[in-house]
Amino acid sequence: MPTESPAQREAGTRAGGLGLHSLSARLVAAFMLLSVLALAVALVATQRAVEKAAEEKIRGDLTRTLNAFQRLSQATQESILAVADAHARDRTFKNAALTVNSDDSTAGLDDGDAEFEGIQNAHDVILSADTEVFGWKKDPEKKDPERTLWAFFNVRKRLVFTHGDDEQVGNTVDDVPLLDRALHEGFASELWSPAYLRTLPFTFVPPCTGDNAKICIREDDLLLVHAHLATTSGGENFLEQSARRPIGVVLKGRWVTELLLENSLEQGTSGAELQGAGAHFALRAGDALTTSKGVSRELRAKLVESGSAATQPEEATQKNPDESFSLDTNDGRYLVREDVFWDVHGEKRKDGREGTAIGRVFVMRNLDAESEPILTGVRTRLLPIAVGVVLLAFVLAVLLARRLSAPLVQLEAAARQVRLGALDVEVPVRGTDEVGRLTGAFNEMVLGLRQRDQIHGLFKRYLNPQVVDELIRNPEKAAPGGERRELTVLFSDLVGFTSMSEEMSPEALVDVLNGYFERATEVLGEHGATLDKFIGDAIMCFWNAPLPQEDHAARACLTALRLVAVVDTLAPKLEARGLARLDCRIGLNTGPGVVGNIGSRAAQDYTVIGDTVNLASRLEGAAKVYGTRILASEETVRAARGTVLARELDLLRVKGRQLPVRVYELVDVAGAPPPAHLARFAEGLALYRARRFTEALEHFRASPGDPPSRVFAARCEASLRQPPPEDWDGVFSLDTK
Amino acid sequence: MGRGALILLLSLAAPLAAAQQGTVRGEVRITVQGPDGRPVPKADRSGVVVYLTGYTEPPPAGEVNMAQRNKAFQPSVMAVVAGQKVRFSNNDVVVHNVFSRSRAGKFDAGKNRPGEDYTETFKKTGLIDVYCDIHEQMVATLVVVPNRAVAVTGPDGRFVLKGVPPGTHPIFAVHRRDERSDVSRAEVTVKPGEEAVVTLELTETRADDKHLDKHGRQYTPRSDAY
Repeated sequence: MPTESPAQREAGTRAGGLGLHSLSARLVAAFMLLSVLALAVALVATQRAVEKAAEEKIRGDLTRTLNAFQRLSQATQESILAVADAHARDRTFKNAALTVNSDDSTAGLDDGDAEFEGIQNAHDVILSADTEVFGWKKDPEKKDPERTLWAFFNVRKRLVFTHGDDEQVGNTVDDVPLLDRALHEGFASELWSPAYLRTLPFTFVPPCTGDNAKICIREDDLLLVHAHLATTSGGENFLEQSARRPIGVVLKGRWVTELLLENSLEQGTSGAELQGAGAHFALRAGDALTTSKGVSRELRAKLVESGSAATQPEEATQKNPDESFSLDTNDGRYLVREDVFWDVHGEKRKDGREGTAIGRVFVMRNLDAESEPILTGVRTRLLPIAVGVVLLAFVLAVLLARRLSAPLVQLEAAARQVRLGALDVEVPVRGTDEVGRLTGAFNEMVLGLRQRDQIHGLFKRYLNPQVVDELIRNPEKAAPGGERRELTVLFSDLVGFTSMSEEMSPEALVDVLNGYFERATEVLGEHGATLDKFIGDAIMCFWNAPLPQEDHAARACLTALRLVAVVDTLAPKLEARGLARLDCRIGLNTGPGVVGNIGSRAAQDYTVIGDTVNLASRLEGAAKVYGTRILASEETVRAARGTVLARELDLLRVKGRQLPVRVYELVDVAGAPPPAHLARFAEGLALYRARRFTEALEHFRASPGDPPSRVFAARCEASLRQPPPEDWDGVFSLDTK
Repeated sequence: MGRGALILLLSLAAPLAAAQQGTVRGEVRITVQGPDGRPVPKADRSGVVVYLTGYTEPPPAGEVNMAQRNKAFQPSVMAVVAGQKVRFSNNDVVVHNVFSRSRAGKFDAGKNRPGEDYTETFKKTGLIDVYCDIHEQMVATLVVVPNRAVAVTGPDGRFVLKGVPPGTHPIFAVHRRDERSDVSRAEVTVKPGEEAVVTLELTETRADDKHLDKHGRQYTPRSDAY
């Protein structure tokens, strides 16, 4: 990676937009993933809820359907009973049926087979008759009457009529419990399976031969058989009811599918009552089962299985009747309600229900198939919404990612610019989030770099590197703008340089000057001076700013001494080259001044302004008057606290200042043996101030090698010639700069 | 009188096979519906014909007589052994007819003036409803049985069947003198020389008294019916 050029990297970033290498792509991907996940969860939850609701509804519907089925079943059976009763009362029927019972036979006095003749007779009548009473269902639209399944037995259970086999007429049929029950109770019902029909001792339903398709045995169906005891009419009077004599038993069979299940379905689809759209019905007797259309073999098998454990109706009743159960098949999950299938009975049972349990009834609905359309509907409605949400999420994600990454891209660009040195970049800060804070931090960093650059630019020329570093670390110490503080200012000027410049080539002059400045700067650096500026051959520097320096005066004094030493070491070399002697003058002053970055934005200097500076400059100039090299103000000497050996020279009033300044010459560092003339000068100075010029003159003349003494000797002489005014205070006014 | 003759005949025949034959003795109980609709025992238990089936015997030699007197058959219930002759004698003061449409013995005696007889032989067993074509109210029943083990109860409902061959026989009680009952059927096991005891239960129901005339039509008021 380090070998990659920025251009390559940029290209990589752009290419990464497709390959999840960019932040925005990742954000978009994450956002999309989240939204798709949330949607998926919502969809699944919705699906579950819809499924649950559908199941609940179907459960409720099943209960209603079952109840409706039971009512329908009861009503149907009751109508069958009523019709059977009416038929049995019919005179035609009775006339035909009267011969089927022989009193002789009953009385055991039948000679030969008297009864059989009557039965045969009745059979012939029934066969030849074309009336509904004998089970001919009249349909005005069909020419051929439709035959219903029925059979007739006399009281001694001898077969009088059946659709099955005419040869069986007259046979005594035992082992049919339904017959016995009907004879005993008057009415009874049973559900007969095809298998049971085949085991009957008579042919109730003929096997299918092709031309009897309507009444032959139907597989997978159950025959609901009503056995009804026909009696003579007795009397019309109710009291004469007991006089009715039994004639025989009429069996009527109706295929359940046709009678109940299809009927139920019709009602279910047309009527509000059953609400059974999609409901399947099944009726089970023992192991035999019949169902409405559309019930798969698998489901049939399972229904039979579910009941095989409890084949006894009574036992099956023990099952919780309000509980629906579910059966899983290949074509979906079925919700099944089970109940007892009752027949109708003339008398009410103790539990208030009429009839006996003759089978089990099942109502079932394909939960999957039914909830599927609802779910599909929900899905078709939800899917566009989901897609819309995803698209919206995508747009939002892109916008958000852009918004998030835009500052980062800007930062990246800005960082590149910074790398190339453009420290004036500033990335706009948007918001207060992490990116905003990062941008802010970046801006601060750039600002810091800029400040650093500025500090470097400001101070590196004037200060030693440690101070610059210190300032960079603590930029507040180099507070921009003006600051008022105590300072010691040093002015140094080379004496004789002007004349030297006339004698030298500019190149050589610069060479000399640079040599001097090189060393001087070194000295200044050693003593922690802040170099203000070079003014031609002059140096201006100060202490106690930008970093505070407690011993600023002492440092200044020592620096001055060292600078003099530098000049002293340079001077012989220059003299050796035949040039004028090089000397210097230095002015030192300590006092308040305003320090700071002063100038325009384009060009500013870290500098000091104020009276203190002016005085320092004046003192530098005044040194010439005294013939000394270093002239320091009293403030500086005092602030130096004895670091240097100083000689008081004068009270000096410089131009532009009202108050006189006590000025000193710096002689040497403290501890150096003071020259002898210092003491004489001091005495002379005291005498001078006491207007004893003659005596002072003697003192000053005693040190002819000392320039200040010479200056003062000259002053004394002048005062002797023309004594100063009475109010003379010993102050010397310097009118030149 | 016919009943007396029958008993006489039976008592004459009994000693012949007394050694290996048994006796069935018993009682008939009749339940009727009381005024409140609950079943109560009937006091008069006469006119119930009790007989055994399962074997045949030749009929007694003599005739039995059923008289017509005061526009009624007397007796109204009579047991006849198959093959036996029955004489219907008009002991009344009006012309009568005797006919039956019953399968076991269809006959029509024509018009019998007072004092005239009509004799019919009943060869088939069965219940024979006997009517008069002139007087609708005249009803009688002949019970033609296969053997001589037959009795008609008196008011106490008791009966004795003598000269019964050993074995298990169905025993019937038929009651249809003026009110029909169902037929009561039971089994009785007779051991040689011993007496078996049977109680037969009958429930009396009201009869459907209507019957048709000899042409199978409803009775109509007639000029000769007085």
